[in-house]
Amino acid sequence: MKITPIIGLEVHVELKTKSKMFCNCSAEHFHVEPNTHTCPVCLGLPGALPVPNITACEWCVKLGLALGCTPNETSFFERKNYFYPDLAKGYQLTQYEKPFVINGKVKVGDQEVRINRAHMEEDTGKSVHISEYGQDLTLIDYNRCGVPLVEIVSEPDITSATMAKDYLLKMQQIIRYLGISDADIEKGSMRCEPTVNLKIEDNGEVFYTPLAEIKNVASLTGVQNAIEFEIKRQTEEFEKTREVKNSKNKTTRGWNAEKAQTFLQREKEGSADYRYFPEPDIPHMEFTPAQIEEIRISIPELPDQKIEKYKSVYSLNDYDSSVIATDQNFADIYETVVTPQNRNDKIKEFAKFVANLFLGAIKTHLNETGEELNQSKINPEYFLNLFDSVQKSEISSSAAKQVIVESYQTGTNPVEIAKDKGLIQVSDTGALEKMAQEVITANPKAVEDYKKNPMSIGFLIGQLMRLSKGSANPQMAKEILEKILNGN
Amino acid sequence: MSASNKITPEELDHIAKLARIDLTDDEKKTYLPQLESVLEYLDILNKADTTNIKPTFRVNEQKNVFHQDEVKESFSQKDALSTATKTKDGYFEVVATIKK
Ligand SMILES: [Zn+2]
Repeated sequence: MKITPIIGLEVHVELKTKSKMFCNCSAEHFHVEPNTHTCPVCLGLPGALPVPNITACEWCVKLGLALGCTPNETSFFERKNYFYPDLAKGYQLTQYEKPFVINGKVKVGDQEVRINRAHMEEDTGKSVHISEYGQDLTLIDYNRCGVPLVEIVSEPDITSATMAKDYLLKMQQIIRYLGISDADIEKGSMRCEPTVNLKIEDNGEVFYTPLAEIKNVASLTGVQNAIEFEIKRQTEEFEKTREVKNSKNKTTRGWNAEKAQTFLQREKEGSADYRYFPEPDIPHMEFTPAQIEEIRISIPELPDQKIEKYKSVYSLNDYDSSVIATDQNFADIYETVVTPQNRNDKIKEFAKFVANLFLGAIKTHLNETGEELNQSKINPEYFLNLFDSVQKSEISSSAAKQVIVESYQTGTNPVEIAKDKGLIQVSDTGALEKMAQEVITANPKAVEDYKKNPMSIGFLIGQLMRLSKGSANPQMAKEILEKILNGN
Repeated sequence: MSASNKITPEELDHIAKLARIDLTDDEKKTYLPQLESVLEYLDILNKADTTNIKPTFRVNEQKNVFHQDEVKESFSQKDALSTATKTKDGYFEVVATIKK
């Protein structure tokens, strides 16, 4: 029996606009006094007129373009009707027939996930469930009701829980690069609903298990665990019942993080039951090709492009390139230090040198302090000075790591710090020859040993390093000692 | 849409459920023929030949009406809650939506 999971993801992203989707109430709702950002529109009072937020619409198109989607020429909102207390109007304004953008794709590792669509809609209010005198109550805060949401619907091209996680991380990266949302899964500004079923090949026959949509997944590990649980559950279920997918047996399952299992929620309302119809109060929207072009131009260089550039222009490896590109701030600061013009002939060495410092000593320091990389503490000139000193063997690579963090903290030139700490290596041949001579005279036994076994030169190098108080360049020390000893 | 303008009692129950209304048997007897007559009327509309006619979504030809992304004043919490049947600690209070 061969089992292939078929997974599609619906991702909801809350945009960080100042105002709500269809009114001018503040879109802020995290740790805000309940029901202080509402008006007739977002409370769904009779006669209120919703007017779309231009910035939110443009950001939806921007995200779509970044995902390689095509904008629809004309786009409009529709009413999705259902009753729930957190939905003030009794319907959600969303896009159904004509979303802003369609048909894109995202690279996940060396695979591709097709994007069906990205559309604009509004968030619901927040429910708080309490118990009072033995009675269960639900309290509603409409501050979040009407906050702009973009929903990104993937095709079912994801084949494992890990790939789903990588897809979400990639989506999060792109959204953060665009600066349109915090895309924080824990805080709820990015939410994910996987739909899972299995392709089962058994004795030359192919079966597809019933679809299950999973709700209430509130963390990245939750997504992975829920998908893994569902794959296992569906496999066992199929072995028991041999039930296959049809147009009526799609179910909605909740995710219980404590029990680490999914459970059957409610029967899924079919599309027909939502009675979608075009919102009559909001005129159609059309972006001209020039406006689309303007939005396209405003898209910054995205992680994939950065990784490609690091690999092709700077010859960085896959790993270094993708770690640097993970965070836009980090990547942009790296690029203020490493530019294609720097040290023309040695640009690749320089890029690798800076990458090692950024991903090693500096990143370790940031992890310890919990800070973000700060552009004002990075002086590109200092990195060039340090690189040149290492190239001239005045400073060892390990000393460079040592001084760069202090330089980051204090703003002092790392080469100065190295001087103060006595970390400058003596590479002056004359001075080294003098010291080598001294060491040879003082250690006749070791010289004898060397004549028998050239491998024993380590002892003499050690003596020379000691004499120089650690400042001698070890490689040169070895060469000079060998030259004198062999020349004798 | 089916060509038939008959509504089964099950369909009526389903529509009532979607609209969150409870109907007594008497009410069902009243509404069933009323809804059917609405469908009959739609049948008349369906007979019109709409080949090559673009769908109309609204009565005027306006497009691209947006608001700028600025924050304007909202209701006070007191005003927001003033039409609620029940409130608690600044929230609208409703019957529990989840079973514990
Ligand atoms: Zn409002």
